[in-house]
Amino acid sequence: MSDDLDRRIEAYLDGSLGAEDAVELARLVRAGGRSEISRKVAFAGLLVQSLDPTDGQAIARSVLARIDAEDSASGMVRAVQRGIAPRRRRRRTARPLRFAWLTAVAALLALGLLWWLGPSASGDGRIASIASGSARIGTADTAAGPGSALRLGDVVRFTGPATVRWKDGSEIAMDGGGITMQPPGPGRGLRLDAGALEAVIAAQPTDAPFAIATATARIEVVGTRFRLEASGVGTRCDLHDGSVRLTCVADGRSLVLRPGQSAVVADGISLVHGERAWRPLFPSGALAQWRQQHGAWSATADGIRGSSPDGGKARILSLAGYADLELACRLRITGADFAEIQVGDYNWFFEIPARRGAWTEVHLRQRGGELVCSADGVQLAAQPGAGVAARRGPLAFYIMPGGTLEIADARILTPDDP
Amino acid sequence: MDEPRLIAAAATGDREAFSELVRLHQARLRALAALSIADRDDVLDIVQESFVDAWRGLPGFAQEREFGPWLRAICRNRVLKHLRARIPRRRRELALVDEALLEAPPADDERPEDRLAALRRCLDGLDAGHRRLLERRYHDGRAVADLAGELGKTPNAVSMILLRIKAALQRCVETAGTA
Repeated sequence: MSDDLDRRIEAYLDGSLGAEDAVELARLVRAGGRSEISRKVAFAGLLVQSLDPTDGQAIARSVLARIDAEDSASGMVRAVQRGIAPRRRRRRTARPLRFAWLTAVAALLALGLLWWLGPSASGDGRIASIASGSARIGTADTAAGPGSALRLGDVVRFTGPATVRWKDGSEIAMDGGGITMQPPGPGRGLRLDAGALEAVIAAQPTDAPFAIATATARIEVVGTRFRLEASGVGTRCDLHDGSVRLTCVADGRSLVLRPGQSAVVADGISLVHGERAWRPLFPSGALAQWRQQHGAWSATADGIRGSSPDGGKARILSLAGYADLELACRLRITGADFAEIQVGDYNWFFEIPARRGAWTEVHLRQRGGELVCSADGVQLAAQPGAGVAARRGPLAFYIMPGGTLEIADARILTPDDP
Repeated sequence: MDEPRLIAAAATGDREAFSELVRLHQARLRALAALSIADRDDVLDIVQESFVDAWRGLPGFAQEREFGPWLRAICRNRVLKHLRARIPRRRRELALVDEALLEAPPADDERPEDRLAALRRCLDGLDAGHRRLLERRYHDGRAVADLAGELGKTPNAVSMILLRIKAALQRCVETAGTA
């Protein structure tokens, strides 16, 4: 039991905790195990600090630097405010011109400082970190690996698969290629110099979106997932979830992409694929396209419902096999802690936690080597199942013994669709 | 210079005096924040922000109050604010446990900096290989699967080794506390 608890706490601390373990850990906390669990969490935090060589001198320097930066920015803003003259008629033309010049310079300096502070630099100037993989930084080609700091202006070249993570959880994954840590706007971001990146971006303030620039385009993001590739011929963006505005640097024209759309920016900006047509996963009479392996399944007004009269498990399996697919649906789980969506006939699965009788929006995509699933916008961890390792296989829904699963508004998109 | 004089000087804008106060109290704030937050960078940010808050609040600080408890209260508030703010950004599984732990924060550890100091001494007594493993896992943030590949062991085996090392450290710290 104690080993299980330690394993769950370790997974909680490194962010890999699965749904079933999370439910159990939360239950243990509420059932009186809080002090033991808190003690273990506390020990983990102290251990991390004890391994960190940052000394008091460095912390004192970072505190004073931050105070200076905040004071300078505030001072510039006040200077700008003092420099803005009240509206009145002026007979002499020279003074207004000097005033305007002072205001413009102070405003530019204030904006520059606020922009520099925007990405929330840490005391050591870090604005992001390498989370996994390896890289070379700068003209000195300094080797960098997991935990290495990335600072404003760093030119980073990746030697293989790698991920970069910001403090807010935003993350990009690359396989080779290079970036420059130079946000093109007031928020977090970078410049993509070469190669392709996959991005998962946390929700950002609307006035400081996460932004990425390439030689030909700029993309601003407010909480979404997309693929962006820069090459000699232009920039291609494939949007998976959320919303992005893609702008062509050459002519300033921009497009707002919707999920599933792709666009290329070269001499201009153009959509590669238009909006694709989703088809219902359970059209009327469609239970005939599914195998009711366990439990009883029935059609509802907007989908299907599964449960087991004898209290056992319930599982429904598509007769069709899928490799690349995109699935969107709503699930409502009652009588159990979670349900599962299984791909490749239980090759991989995702645990969708129950929400006390409320509906959950689910979005799943398998494309090439990528398999991702989110519930209410929160990405879930893919779990390996007991199936044969193959990407193509049936889609399945599974509910634990005693549970009921309702599936509504389910629609699917596959590469064969126009 | 003794602490009341440092505080009085810092309250008038003496940066050197404030810098000395930071050096005197940073270990305790780091340990306090670390009781609830395992991420190294988040702890350092919270400690930095707490000291900046203290700098801004010093002109109004009543000299007859105790500086340490006041500073720790600022830090505790920063920690709670950080924990509450991160819940909406976390995966649901992690947020479930975050909320459960936040419902009643841990009992106040009287002197967490003593535990931190004891832990550092216990780490110094560790086998070099074990210490390196801990550093790579918890300081460098290497995944267990990556470490397992490098060591030629299974991920489960590496997890068990880490758990045993941590259990030994915990016993060492508890022994130091009762010595």
